[in-house]
Amino acid sequence: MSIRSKKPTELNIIQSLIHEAGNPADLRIMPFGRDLSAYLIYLNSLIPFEKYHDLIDRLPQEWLGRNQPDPPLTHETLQTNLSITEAVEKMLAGHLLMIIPGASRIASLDVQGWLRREPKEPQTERLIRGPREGFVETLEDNIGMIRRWIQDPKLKIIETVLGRRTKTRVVLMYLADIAQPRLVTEVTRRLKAIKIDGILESGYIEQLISDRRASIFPLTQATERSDKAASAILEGRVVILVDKSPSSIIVPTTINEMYQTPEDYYFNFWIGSFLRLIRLLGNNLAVVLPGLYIALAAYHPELLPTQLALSIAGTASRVPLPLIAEVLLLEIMVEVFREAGLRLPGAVGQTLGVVAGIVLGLSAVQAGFISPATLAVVSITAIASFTGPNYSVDIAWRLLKFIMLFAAAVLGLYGIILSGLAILIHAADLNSFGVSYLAPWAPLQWRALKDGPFRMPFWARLYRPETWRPQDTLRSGGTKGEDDD
Amino acid sequence: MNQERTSIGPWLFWSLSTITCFGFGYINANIYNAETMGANGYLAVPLAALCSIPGLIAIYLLMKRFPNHNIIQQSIVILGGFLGRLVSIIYLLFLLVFFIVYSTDVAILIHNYLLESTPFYIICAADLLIAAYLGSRGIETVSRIASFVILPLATVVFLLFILILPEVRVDRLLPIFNFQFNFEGVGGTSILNIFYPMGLWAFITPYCKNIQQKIPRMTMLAFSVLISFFLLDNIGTIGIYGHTYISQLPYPSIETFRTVEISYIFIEQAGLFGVIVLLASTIISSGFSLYAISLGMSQVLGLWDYKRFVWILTPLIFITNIHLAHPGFIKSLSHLFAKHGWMVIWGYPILLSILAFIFKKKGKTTHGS
Repeated sequence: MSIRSKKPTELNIIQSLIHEAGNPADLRIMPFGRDLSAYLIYLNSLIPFEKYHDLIDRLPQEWLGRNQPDPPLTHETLQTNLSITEAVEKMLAGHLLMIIPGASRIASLDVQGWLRREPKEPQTERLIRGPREGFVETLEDNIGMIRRWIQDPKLKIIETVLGRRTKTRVVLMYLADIAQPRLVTEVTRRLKAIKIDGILESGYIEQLISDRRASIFPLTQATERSDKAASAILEGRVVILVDKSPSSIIVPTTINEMYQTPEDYYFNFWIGSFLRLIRLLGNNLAVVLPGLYIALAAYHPELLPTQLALSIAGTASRVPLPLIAEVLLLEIMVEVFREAGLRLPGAVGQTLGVVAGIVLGLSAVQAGFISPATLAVVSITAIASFTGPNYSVDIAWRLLKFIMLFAAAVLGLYGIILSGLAILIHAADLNSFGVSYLAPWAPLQWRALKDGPFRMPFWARLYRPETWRPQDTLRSGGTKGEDDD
Repeated sequence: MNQERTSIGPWLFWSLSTITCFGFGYINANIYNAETMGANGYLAVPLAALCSIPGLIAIYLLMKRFPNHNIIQQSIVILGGFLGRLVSIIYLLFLLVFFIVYSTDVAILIHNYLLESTPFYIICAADLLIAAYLGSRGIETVSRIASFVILPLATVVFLLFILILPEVRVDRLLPIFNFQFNFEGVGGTSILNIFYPMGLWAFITPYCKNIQQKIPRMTMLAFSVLISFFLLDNIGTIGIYGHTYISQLPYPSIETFRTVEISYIFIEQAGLFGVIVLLASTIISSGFSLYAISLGMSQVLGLWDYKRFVWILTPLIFITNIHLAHPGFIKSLSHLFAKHGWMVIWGYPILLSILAFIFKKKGKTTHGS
């Protein structure tokens, strides 16, 4: 039966839909039902053709005219009585549209037929111990992952749509009885204030809701780990999930959070604390070491042990470049290799790292371009920079390392002190959703400090960190009521 | 006018008071002590703390009377528009000159100890720029920085003091009970300036009104920590070099740290850590002073806000620094301020407090100006 033989109302609806959708090439119209009197309209790019028969089996039987049991459709996935505009919006979002026979009604069914990725461990947040589960590009899957961690009716899931053209779905997740209501209101307000044509990744939102958009430090925390996001929700923070993005955003955050991993809590507190201290040490080395090396070797050799000072001076005398040029050149080369290694396929990237690190480095030393001491310092810096678990803050520190390097080259040790203080002043000036970026150090919060550079055992951490101002502060223990009984 | 909408908690208040006094008093205090009191010059430290208390009580009483006003706004209310502004300007100019002398002294120290071949103006400019950046960010940032660095700083300083103890010769120190009353009184006033940043608290009283009840306790805590710092410093310096030799050293505290040797660990001299700690605290102290003076200037003149004044004052201070940069001249000026500066720093709040009591002046309870 052709379309032209149908009733004018149904034909008009189909024509209007085609017109409103801009007659896209991937639009498909399929007659279905007992006498092929109904129509399925969908975008083939979002709902592949092979799923068509499967879909029909899941449709409501009154439309199919078959004697089948009720399909497992919920109220949320099936919406009826849509206008043409609403129907097109649904179709563009991957819904299946149905023209119901005998009535000028359009229904939509959220079938989510697009391609999906299996959850895998995020490459930048790998752990020795812990779940191997990371967020994927499908919002529903990501919500489901958090739901599996927190099976609490107080877990709120608020959805909003951002981006005039992309219509990206964004979800807020928090525990209603723990998260500070003012925080939730503020996050909602900032999300609503976003006026943009498209959101292609959660990074867009991260930058648009940041307290200080020009700051080099990330004022929100991004993670692909579902356990990390769930842990943040349990602390009283808000997690933002964005459709088509595997990175969730956690707000608020502090610099203290940037050095923590879920693993710190999976091992006992001795190991957890040790790992954190190593990370902090690695981070400090990655930022300060090249500058300190220049300051001590070029300005204040008297502060070094005599043998070490003589050794550095001896090797440096055979190098034609000044120390700052030598360090700067090597540091830039390391950054180039690192970026190249990221873009190259895995095995080639690893080979490049080995070739660049060992072969080129040794060749440069033998050729007299650089001194062995400089090579050692830059290598330690490069390796130490990988200790940080947060990529955004690691990059920030890598950039700031160059500022400290220049400051040390101009003013020696004093330059390091000045540049370090300038960075610290900037950090002290930052807030993340009303929380001091330097908390729990500034202002000092003793209770929250139990989860600072050292991770105290669970029995010593009865309360949620006061940094996030949770409504319900008690986290573990809480047997007072039982005792009263 | 840019009125900050913030408040500082007890910890921030304590850390700010402690670190700024430490940064301010650390450079010269032991020279003045040893000069005026000789071998038991360390006794000047608790005496100076005692002498500072009336001024602090006056500021506290003024704060209770005028919870929403700082010392400049209080002056205008108590002394009237014209006289209040005039006296405030003189008071602020005094603080400004005091700050210029202090910042030049710090720059000379850096020039002598760390960067002999670097031009003096570059050191001055770098030092002032960071202090101005800090000052321009407001009281919240200044106090957060103080809070962030206070614990590592205190740890390093106490460790260094422990490490210098083996070098101390007890026979160079006069015992506590060998009391020389006349000298002690003079010695106490000679270093009263080390607690001068506590007087700057008068500028931030509106931000402390939520912790009014805790301020006496926090001030006493800051005093006890500072007295311990300066006592150990003085005992170490006099015990190592003797009081007669100290006056020949430009910066005895740093020389004292230089005596600590942890050879062949990583660095030859532990003095490096002492210098880092000292310089970090001096910059925080400078930033706070600059903030307070700029805030006062903007309030007295009713122009712009403290942020702009910080950046207006910075080049002026820089030019003055360069022209004053003669170590002997700065030392004598510094000495002069140390001996007599307390009259203004502590005298002015006491005077205002008495006048407010006599004329029964009181501030409004609502958030003013």
